[in-house]
Amino acid sequence: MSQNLVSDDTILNEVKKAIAHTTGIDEETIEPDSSLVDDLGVLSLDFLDVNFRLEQVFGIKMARNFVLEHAEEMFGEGVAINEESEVTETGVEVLRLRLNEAAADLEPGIPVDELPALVTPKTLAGAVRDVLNCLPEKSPAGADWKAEDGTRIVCAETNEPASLPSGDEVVQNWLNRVQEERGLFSS
Amino acid sequence: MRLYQGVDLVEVARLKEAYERHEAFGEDVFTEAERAYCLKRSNPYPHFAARFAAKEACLKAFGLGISEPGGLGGRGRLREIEVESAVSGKPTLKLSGSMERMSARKKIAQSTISMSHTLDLAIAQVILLGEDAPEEAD
Repeated sequence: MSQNLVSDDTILNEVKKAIAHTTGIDEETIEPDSSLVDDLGVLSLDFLDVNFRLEQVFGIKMARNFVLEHAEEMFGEGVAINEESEVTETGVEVLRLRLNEAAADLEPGIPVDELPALVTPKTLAGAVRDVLNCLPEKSPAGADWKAEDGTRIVCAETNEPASLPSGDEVVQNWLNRVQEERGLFSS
Repeated sequence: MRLYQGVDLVEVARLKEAYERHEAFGEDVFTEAERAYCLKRSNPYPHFAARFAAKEACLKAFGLGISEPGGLGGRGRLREIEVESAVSGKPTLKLSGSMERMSARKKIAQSTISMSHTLDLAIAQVILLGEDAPEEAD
Protein backbone atom coordinates (compact mmCIF):
# COMPACT_ATOMS: atom_id res chain seq x y z
CA MET A 1 0.00 0.00 0.00
CA SER A 2 2.62 2.57 1.08
CA GLN A 3 4.78 1.50 -1.89
CA ASN A 4 2.23 3.13 -4.18
CA LEU A 5 2.32 6.35 -2.19
CA VAL A 6 6.01 6.64 -1.41
CA SER A 7 8.25 4.78 -3.82
CA ASP A 8 11.52 3.06 -2.91
CA ASP A 9 13.31 5.53 -5.18
CA THR A 10 11.78 8.46 -3.28
CA ILE A 11 12.91 7.01 0.05
CA LEU A 12 16.44 6.35 -1.18
CA ASN A 13 16.68 9.85 -2.66
CA GLU A 14 15.52 11.40 0.62
CA VAL A 15 18.09 9.33 2.50
CA LYS A 16 20.83 10.57 0.18
CA LYS A 17 19.55 14.13 0.53
CA ALA A 18 19.61 13.87 4.34
CA ILE A 19 23.19 12.55 4.27
CA ALA A 20 24.24 15.27 1.81
CA HIS A 21 22.66 18.06 3.91
CA THR A 22 24.22 16.77 7.10
CA THR A 23 27.72 16.10 5.82
CA GLY A 24 28.09 18.52 2.91
CA ILE A 25 28.93 15.60 0.61
CA ASP A 26 27.69 15.98 -2.98
CA GLU A 27 24.45 13.97 -3.20
CA GLU A 28 25.40 12.66 -6.64
CA THR A 29 28.45 10.90 -5.25
CA ILE A 30 26.49 8.94 -2.63
CA GLU A 31 25.90 5.37 -3.79
CA PRO A 32 23.13 3.14 -2.36
CA ASP A 33 25.76 0.74 -1.01
CA SER A 34 28.26 3.32 0.27
CA SER A 35 29.24 2.63 3.88
CA LEU A 36 28.28 5.74 5.83
CA VAL A 37 31.28 5.31 8.11
CA ASP A 38 33.98 3.94 5.81
CA ASP A 39 33.07 5.61 2.50
CA LEU A 40 31.30 8.81 3.53
CA GLY A 41 33.07 9.59 6.81
CA VAL A 42 29.82 10.08 8.72
CA LEU A 43 30.38 10.82 12.43
CA SER A 44 28.21 10.00 15.42
CA LEU A 45 26.46 13.36 15.59
CA ASP A 46 25.87 13.17 11.82
CA PHE A 47 24.08 9.83 12.21
CA LEU A 48 21.70 11.39 14.71
CA ASP A 49 21.14 14.35 12.42
CA VAL A 50 20.39 12.12 9.42
CA ASN A 51 17.89 10.10 11.44
CA PHE A 52 16.14 13.20 12.76
CA ARG A 53 15.90 14.58 9.21
CA LEU A 54 14.32 11.35 7.96
CA GLU A 55 11.82 11.44 10.82
CA GLN A 56 10.81 14.95 9.83
CA VAL A 57 10.61 14.23 6.10
CA PHE A 58 8.49 11.08 6.45
CA GLY A 59 6.65 11.92 9.69
CA ILE A 60 7.89 8.72 11.34
CA LYS A 61 9.83 7.71 14.44
CA MET A 62 12.98 5.68 13.79
CA ALA A 63 14.01 2.98 16.28
CA ARG A 64 15.63 4.34 19.44
CA ASN A 65 16.96 1.03 20.67
CA PHE A 66 19.50 -1.16 18.94
CA VAL A 67 17.98 -4.21 17.24
CA LEU A 68 20.23 -6.63 19.16
CA GLU A 69 19.32 -4.99 22.47
CA HIS A 70 15.65 -5.49 21.62
CA ALA A 71 16.48 -9.15 21.01
CA GLU A 72 18.16 -9.40 24.41
CA GLU A 73 15.27 -7.72 26.21
CA MET A 74 12.78 -10.02 24.54
CA PHE A 75 14.65 -13.31 24.54
CA GLY A 76 17.27 -13.09 27.26
CA GLU A 77 20.54 -11.44 28.15
CA GLY A 78 23.51 -12.69 26.18
CA VAL A 79 21.56 -14.13 23.22
CA ALA A 80 22.84 -11.51 20.79
CA ILE A 81 25.83 -9.77 22.42
CA ASN A 82 28.36 -11.45 24.69
CA GLU A 83 30.10 -9.82 27.64
CA GLU A 84 33.06 -8.90 25.44
CA SER A 85 30.66 -6.73 23.38
CA GLU A 86 30.87 -9.13 20.43
CA VAL A 87 27.95 -10.33 18.35
CA THR A 88 26.97 -13.94 19.01
CA GLU A 89 26.06 -16.48 16.31
CA THR A 90 22.37 -15.78 16.90
CA GLY A 91 23.02 -12.03 16.80
CA VAL A 92 24.76 -12.41 13.43
CA GLU A 93 21.79 -14.40 12.13
CA VAL A 94 19.45 -11.60 13.24
CA LEU A 95 21.58 -8.98 11.48
CA ARG A 96 21.76 -11.06 8.29
CA LEU A 97 17.98 -11.30 8.23
CA ARG A 98 17.57 -7.62 9.04
CA LEU A 99 20.20 -6.14 6.74
CA ASN A 100 20.23 -8.77 3.97
CA GLU A 101 23.30 -8.48 1.73
CA ALA A 102 24.85 -5.69 3.83
CA ALA A 103 25.44 -8.27 6.58
CA ALA A 104 26.08 -11.30 4.36
CA ASP A 105 29.79 -11.52 5.27
CA LEU A 106 29.35 -11.06 9.02
CA GLU A 107 30.96 -13.65 11.24
CA PRO A 108 30.13 -14.40 14.88
CA GLY A 109 32.49 -12.59 17.23
CA ILE A 110 32.50 -9.31 15.33
CA PRO A 111 32.80 -6.43 17.84
CA VAL A 112 29.57 -4.43 18.18
CA ASP A 113 31.48 -1.21 17.55
CA GLU A 114 32.25 -2.39 14.01
CA LEU A 115 28.57 -2.67 13.07
CA PRO A 116 27.99 1.00 12.13
CA ALA A 117 30.24 0.38 9.09
CA LEU A 118 27.48 -1.87 7.72
CA VAL A 119 25.03 1.01 7.48
CA THR A 120 24.44 2.22 3.94
CA PRO A 121 21.86 4.51 2.34
CA LYS A 122 20.07 1.30 1.29
CA THR A 123 19.85 -0.09 4.84
CA LEU A 124 18.63 3.28 6.11
CA ALA A 125 15.99 3.38 3.37
CA GLY A 126 14.97 -0.13 4.40
CA ALA A 127 14.36 1.03 7.97
CA VAL A 128 12.13 3.85 6.69
CA ARG A 129 10.30 1.44 4.37
CA ASP A 130 9.64 -0.99 7.23
CA VAL A 131 7.82 1.73 9.16
CA LEU A 132 5.86 3.00 6.14
CA ASN A 133 4.83 -0.57 5.32
CA CYS A 134 2.78 -0.61 8.53
CA LEU A 135 0.27 1.81 7.02
CA PRO A 136 -3.29 0.49 7.45
CA GLU A 137 -5.51 0.09 4.38
CA LYS A 138 -7.71 3.04 5.29
CA SER A 139 -7.39 6.12 7.49
CA PRO A 140 -9.38 6.31 10.77
CA ALA A 141 -11.90 8.39 8.79
CA GLY A 142 -12.32 5.44 6.43
CA ALA A 143 -10.67 7.34 3.59
CA ASP A 144 -7.67 6.62 1.39
CA TRP A 145 -4.22 7.98 2.10
CA LYS A 146 -2.17 10.42 0.07
CA ALA A 147 1.49 11.44 0.20
CA GLU A 148 1.92 15.12 0.92
CA ASP A 149 5.06 16.48 -0.74
CA GLY A 150 5.63 12.92 -1.92
CA THR A 151 6.84 11.77 1.51
CA ARG A 152 4.40 12.46 4.38
CA ILE A 153 1.39 10.16 4.39
CA VAL A 154 -1.87 11.86 5.42
CA CYS A 155 -5.59 11.08 5.21
CA ALA A 156 -6.85 12.11 1.77
CA GLU A 157 -9.98 13.64 3.33
CA THR A 158 -8.93 15.16 6.64
CA ASN A 159 -5.21 15.68 5.98
CA GLU A 160 -4.51 14.11 9.39
CA PRO A 161 -1.03 12.53 9.42
CA ALA A 162 -0.98 8.73 9.41
CA SER A 163 -0.37 7.23 12.82
CA LEU A 164 2.42 4.75 12.20
CA PRO A 165 4.11 2.50 14.75
CA SER A 166 7.54 3.58 15.95
CA GLY A 167 10.67 1.96 14.57
CA ASP A 168 11.08 0.20 17.92
CA GLU A 169 7.62 -1.37 17.67
CA VAL A 170 8.35 -2.43 14.09
CA VAL A 171 11.59 -4.11 15.17
CA GLN A 172 9.92 -5.85 18.13
CA ASN A 173 7.13 -7.19 15.89
CA TRP A 174 9.70 -8.33 13.35
CA LEU A 175 11.72 -10.14 16.03
CA ASN A 176 8.57 -11.91 17.23
CA ARG A 177 7.85 -13.01 13.66
CA VAL A 178 11.44 -14.24 13.21
CA GLN A 179 11.16 -16.18 16.44
CA GLU A 180 7.85 -17.75 15.40
CA GLU A 181 9.16 -18.71 11.99
CA ARG A 182 12.72 -19.76 12.81
CA GLY A 183 12.93 -20.25 16.57
CA LEU A 184 16.30 -18.50 16.56
CA PHE A 185 16.26 -17.84 20.25
CA SER A 186 15.31 -21.32 21.42
CA SER A 187 17.75 -22.73 23.92
CA MET B 1 42.81 -6.34 35.52
CA ARG B 2 40.35 -5.24 32.89
CA LEU B 3 40.53 -1.65 31.85
CA TYR B 4 38.30 -0.11 29.21
CA GLN B 5 38.59 3.42 27.90
CA GLY B 6 36.93 5.68 25.39
CA VAL B 7 37.42 9.25 24.22
CA ASP B 8 35.31 11.54 22.04
CA LEU B 9 35.64 15.00 20.59
CA VAL B 10 32.64 17.11 19.56
CA GLU B 11 32.37 20.38 17.66
CA VAL B 12 30.21 22.71 19.73
CA ALA B 13 28.74 24.41 16.64
CA ARG B 14 27.69 21.02 15.19
CA LEU B 15 25.99 20.08 18.42
CA LYS B 16 24.23 23.46 18.62
CA GLU B 17 23.03 23.16 15.03
CA ALA B 18 21.52 19.70 15.62
CA TYR B 19 20.01 20.75 18.96
CA GLU B 20 18.33 23.78 17.43
CA ARG B 21 17.24 22.11 14.21
CA HIS B 22 15.53 19.07 15.70
CA GLU B 23 12.88 19.62 18.31
CA ALA B 24 13.32 16.15 19.82
CA PHE B 25 17.13 16.27 19.99
CA GLY B 26 17.41 17.65 23.52
CA GLU B 27 14.93 15.23 25.06
CA ASP B 28 16.15 12.22 23.08
CA VAL B 29 19.81 12.69 23.92
CA PHE B 30 19.96 14.33 27.35
CA THR B 31 18.22 13.53 30.62
CA GLU B 32 16.09 16.12 32.37
CA ALA B 33 18.82 16.74 34.94
CA GLU B 34 21.44 17.26 32.21
CA ARG B 35 19.21 19.70 30.35
CA ALA B 36 18.49 21.60 33.57
CA TYR B 37 22.23 21.81 34.35
CA CYS B 38 23.23 23.02 30.87
CA LEU B 39 20.31 25.39 30.31
CA LYS B 40 21.23 27.26 33.51
CA ARG B 41 24.42 28.41 31.73
CA SER B 42 24.50 31.58 29.67
CA ASN B 43 25.91 29.52 26.78
CA PRO B 44 24.65 25.96 27.31
CA TYR B 45 26.09 24.43 24.13
CA PRO B 46 29.71 23.77 25.22
CA HIS B 47 28.21 21.99 28.26
CA PHE B 48 25.82 19.96 26.10
CA ALA B 49 28.70 19.15 23.73
CA ALA B 50 30.90 17.97 26.62
CA ARG B 51 28.09 15.71 27.86
CA PHE B 52 27.47 14.37 24.38
CA ALA B 53 31.19 13.60 24.09
CA ALA B 54 31.02 11.85 27.48
CA LYS B 55 28.14 9.65 26.35
CA GLU B 56 29.95 8.69 23.15
CA ALA B 57 33.19 8.09 25.07
CA CYS B 58 31.28 5.83 27.45
CA LEU B 59 29.83 3.83 24.55
CA LYS B 60 33.33 3.44 23.13
CA ALA B 61 34.65 2.28 26.50
CA PHE B 62 31.92 -0.37 26.57
CA GLY B 63 32.89 -1.44 23.05
CA LEU B 64 29.53 -0.38 21.65
CA GLY B 65 30.81 2.26 19.24
CA ILE B 66 28.72 5.20 18.16
CA SER B 67 25.27 5.72 19.52
CA GLU B 68 23.09 5.77 16.44
CA PRO B 69 24.24 3.56 13.61
CA GLY B 70 21.21 4.66 11.63
CA GLY B 71 18.37 2.30 10.92
CA LEU B 72 19.74 -0.16 13.45
CA GLY B 73 18.59 1.88 16.44
CA GLY B 74 20.75 2.75 19.42
CA ARG B 75 19.96 6.37 20.13
CA GLY B 76 18.09 5.27 23.28
CA ARG B 77 21.42 4.42 24.93
CA LEU B 78 22.38 8.08 25.08
CA ARG B 79 19.75 8.88 27.68
CA GLU B 80 20.81 5.80 29.64
CA ILE B 81 24.20 7.43 30.22
CA GLU B 82 23.84 10.45 32.46
CA VAL B 83 26.61 12.79 33.50
CA GLU B 84 25.93 13.86 37.05
CA SER B 85 27.68 16.90 38.43
CA ALA B 86 28.62 16.98 42.10
CA VAL B 87 28.50 20.24 44.03
CA SER B 88 32.28 20.32 43.70
CA GLY B 89 31.83 20.23 39.92
CA LYS B 90 33.30 16.73 39.61
CA PRO B 91 31.35 14.76 37.02
CA THR B 92 30.32 11.14 37.53
CA LEU B 93 28.55 8.61 35.32
CA LYS B 94 25.12 7.26 36.16
CA LEU B 95 23.93 4.35 34.00
CA SER B 96 20.43 2.97 33.60
CA GLY B 97 18.53 0.49 31.41
CA SER B 98 20.58 -1.49 28.90
CA MET B 99 23.76 0.40 29.82
CA GLU B 100 23.38 -0.55 33.48
CA ARG B 101 22.88 -4.18 32.45
CA MET B 102 25.96 -4.03 30.19
CA SER B 103 27.96 -2.62 33.10
CA ALA B 104 26.86 -5.52 35.31
CA ARG B 105 27.78 -8.06 32.62
CA LYS B 106 31.23 -6.57 32.24
CA LYS B 107 31.52 -6.47 36.03
CA ILE B 108 32.45 -2.81 36.03
CA ALA B 109 33.43 -1.77 39.54
CA GLN B 110 34.59 1.78 38.97
CA SER B 111 34.29 4.47 36.37
CA THR B 112 35.95 7.82 35.95
CA ILE B 113 35.10 10.60 33.58
CA SER B 114 36.90 13.74 32.58
CA MET B 115 35.49 16.48 30.37
CA SER B 116 36.82 19.75 29.03
CA HIS B 117 35.68 22.32 26.50
CA THR B 118 36.46 25.55 24.76
CA LEU B 119 33.87 27.60 22.92
CA ASP B 120 34.56 25.50 19.82
CA LEU B 121 35.37 21.97 20.97
CA ALA B 122 34.41 19.63 23.77
CA ILE B 123 36.27 16.48 24.75
CA ALA B 124 35.55 13.69 27.21
CA GLN B 125 37.32 10.56 28.34
CA VAL B 126 35.76 7.65 30.18
CA ILE B 127 37.72 4.91 31.95
CA LEU B 128 36.03 1.80 33.27
CA LEU B 129 37.66 -0.71 35.59
CA GLY B 130 36.55 -4.31 35.88
CA GLU B 131 35.92 -5.59 39.38
CA ASP B 132 39.05 -7.73 39.26
CA ALA B 133 41.13 -4.56 39.08
CA PRO B 134 43.87 -4.50 41.73
CA GLU B 135 43.57 -2.36 44.83
CA GLU B 136 44.65 1.19 44.29
CA ALA B 137 48.28 1.68 45.33
CA ASP B 138 48.94 3.95 48.34
